[in-house]
Amino acid sequence: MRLLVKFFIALTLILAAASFLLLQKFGVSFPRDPGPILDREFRSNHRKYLEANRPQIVLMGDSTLLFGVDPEALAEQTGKSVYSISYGGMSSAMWYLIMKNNIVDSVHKPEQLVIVFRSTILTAPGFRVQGYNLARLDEYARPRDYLFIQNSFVNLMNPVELMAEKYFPLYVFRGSLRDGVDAYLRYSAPALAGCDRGCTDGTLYQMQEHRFVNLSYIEGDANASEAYLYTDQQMDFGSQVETSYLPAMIEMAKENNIHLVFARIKVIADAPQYKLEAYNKALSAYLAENNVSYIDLGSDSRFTEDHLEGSLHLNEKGKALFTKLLADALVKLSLGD
Amino acid sequence: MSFTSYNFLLFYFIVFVLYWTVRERRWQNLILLAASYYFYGSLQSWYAILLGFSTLVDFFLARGMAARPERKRSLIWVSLLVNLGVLAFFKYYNFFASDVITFFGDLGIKTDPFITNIVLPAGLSFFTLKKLGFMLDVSRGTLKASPSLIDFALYVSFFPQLISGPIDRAQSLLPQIEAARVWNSSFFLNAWPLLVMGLFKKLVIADSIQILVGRVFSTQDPSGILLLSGSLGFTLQILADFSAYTDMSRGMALLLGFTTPENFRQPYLSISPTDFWNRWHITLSTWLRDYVFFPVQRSLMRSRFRFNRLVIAATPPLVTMLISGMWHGARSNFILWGLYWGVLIVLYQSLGIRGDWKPASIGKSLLAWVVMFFLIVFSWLIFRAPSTTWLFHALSISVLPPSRSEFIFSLIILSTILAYAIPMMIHNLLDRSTPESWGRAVFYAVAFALVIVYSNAAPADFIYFQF
Repeated sequence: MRLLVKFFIALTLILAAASFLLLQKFGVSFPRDPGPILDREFRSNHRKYLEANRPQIVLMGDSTLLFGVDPEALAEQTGKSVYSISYGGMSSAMWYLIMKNNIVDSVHKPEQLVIVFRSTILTAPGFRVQGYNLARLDEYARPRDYLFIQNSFVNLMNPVELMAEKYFPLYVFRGSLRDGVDAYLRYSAPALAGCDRGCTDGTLYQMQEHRFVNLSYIEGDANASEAYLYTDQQMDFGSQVETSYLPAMIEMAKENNIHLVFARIKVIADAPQYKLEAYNKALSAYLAENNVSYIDLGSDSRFTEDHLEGSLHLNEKGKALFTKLLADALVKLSLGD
Repeated sequence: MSFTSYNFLLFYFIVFVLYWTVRERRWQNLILLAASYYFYGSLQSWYAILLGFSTLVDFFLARGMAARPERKRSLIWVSLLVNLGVLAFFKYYNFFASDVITFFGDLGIKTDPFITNIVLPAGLSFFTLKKLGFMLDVSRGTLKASPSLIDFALYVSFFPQLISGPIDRAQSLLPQIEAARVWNSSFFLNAWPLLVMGLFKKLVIADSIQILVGRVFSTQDPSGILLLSGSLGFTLQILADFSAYTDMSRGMALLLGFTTPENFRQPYLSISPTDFWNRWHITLSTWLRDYVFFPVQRSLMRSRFRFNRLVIAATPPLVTMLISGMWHGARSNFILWGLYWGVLIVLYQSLGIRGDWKPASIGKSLLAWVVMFFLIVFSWLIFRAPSTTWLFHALSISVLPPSRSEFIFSLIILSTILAYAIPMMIHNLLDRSTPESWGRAVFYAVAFALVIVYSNAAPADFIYFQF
């Protein structure tokens, strides 16, 4: 019993001291609204590109787009200029933020905005928004991007988290504290060997390069995080759509006279086929109801295992085929316009 | 539902309140049984069906043994066949998955990729061993078959132990299930340090180290120093992860009035392989000792073929550790890992070093510890390697000098390992101090504060979930 009492005394003192120091350091008043603290800066590199180069088609997607579409070939086949915004780890939250804070903000609006997606990613606003992903999202978010904070964070918090976010500084600033510990551990030992921060960052970057990493060995980890997209909740389109970014993206496109197109790409999903089909059917009906174009190449039988590399990405052969089919569909849609 | 998730916290709270609200033992057991099946079914509903089916089979087989002792032999074979058959099917199914696709393809049937990639039900390896131990004891006459289906089913499915053990013996857990349980404050007083340490080791240590370890073991051509740092990292990660699960499991069982066995006793302080297995995953080691090692040894000694002493001494550890490797899964490096430990035990025994070996001096103890520690680290390298091809390739190039990048990266890993290992060492030291000292209280308070800092909305699974 005495150990428990001592534990509570020590814990109270530690929490009180930590709260005091954190409030001094970050200057945030409590209670506060739940959600991440976003900085005031935001990047507008895509807006600048759009205004300078005036592309007619803008593509957005994660690494499946990077590996799945050749922008130059697409430009050639459609006869239109193409700008592709894609990198590994992008998710619907990032597409929404870039669309809202860069594309819609731009003086030049593209004729077509094509979102290349897979599985249930369009209605999974909580996918890839934590840790390192949050830092990347913060680059494109404004400090008070209400929908972003609500959809990707607050809606997904349980009552304990909501309470902690509101009243508990140690919990709210845990990301910053962890970053501090990580940075200390990351830079201290290399500094002793004469490697400063720039050198250490360069080393870590180099260690991630493909020539060092065997992608098949990390596929297991990638699949584990993919599992989030195939939970029963995520596969239920009806329950997810209203808290996703889909309605807002459709609304923004209509208001800004941008032809929004969603294109589903082929992947091998770790979920029963009938559930994927049900989700896709519901998505298709929803987009049709909202007069949004949908190019569904996700279950196109022309894609076989020969077109895939791993379960997520197309190989060069698959890339050529997907680019061709996407171009044909986009031309058709333009003619329809 | 991971132990570190909010959903589990909510689930446990409801079970805890209901459980202690009803005071009747039978109702308490029913609540725990329903909770265990709900817990297991929440991972995949068919897991619960499989668990229920295999429990029913063993319950009736055990009752059959009690009623018809002359048929014990045939009934135990049925049980072995069913339990090991189910285990082998799920463990080794994916080995043959491509053949299954081809077979259906030849018949013109297109298979759903999901069906051809059946995952091993979490915890199957653990509850199968629990049931097998029970059945073997009943067949030997050292244990009475439980007359109550509810009690037996609860013994098998008890949710704190269901996914990753400890592999509790029926002799220990069943009597507790069959006895009345009344709330006692000592349950909480003994449980909370286990729960705090479990959360701390999992969320703060294991999950932090995991990222760096993963990076090393996905490298194509790791140099020797990178291999060493990755192996050291995994050495810390697997202990922190697995012992965290056990701590939480024991803490939760304690809160429900059950005393369950410890699984780890400072394993990295071992000075011989047998000593290591007396301290590491203790409930698996003792299970294998009682149901594999001793029976193999006895059968060799009693065999009408007169085996020489070397065969009698070497075969039981080799067979036992090989089975231990196979139990971990259908990967060649698990089998190699098992064989490695078997060979080490035989080698040490041939030098006269057994589990109870006491070196003559401190110097010798220290030397024995250093040697054993590096043998343990090497064993984890075999275990964690993504494939045996990778392992042999990595070992063959490990003598080459590292690049500057690899050297710097190794420094980062080693300093991180050291930073996260220190709390584990302090905890071990505090275990030897006064039970209610201020030092211990402050340590737990800091650990709890760090749990808050390292808490994550999407916690990683425990390593042993996959076995």
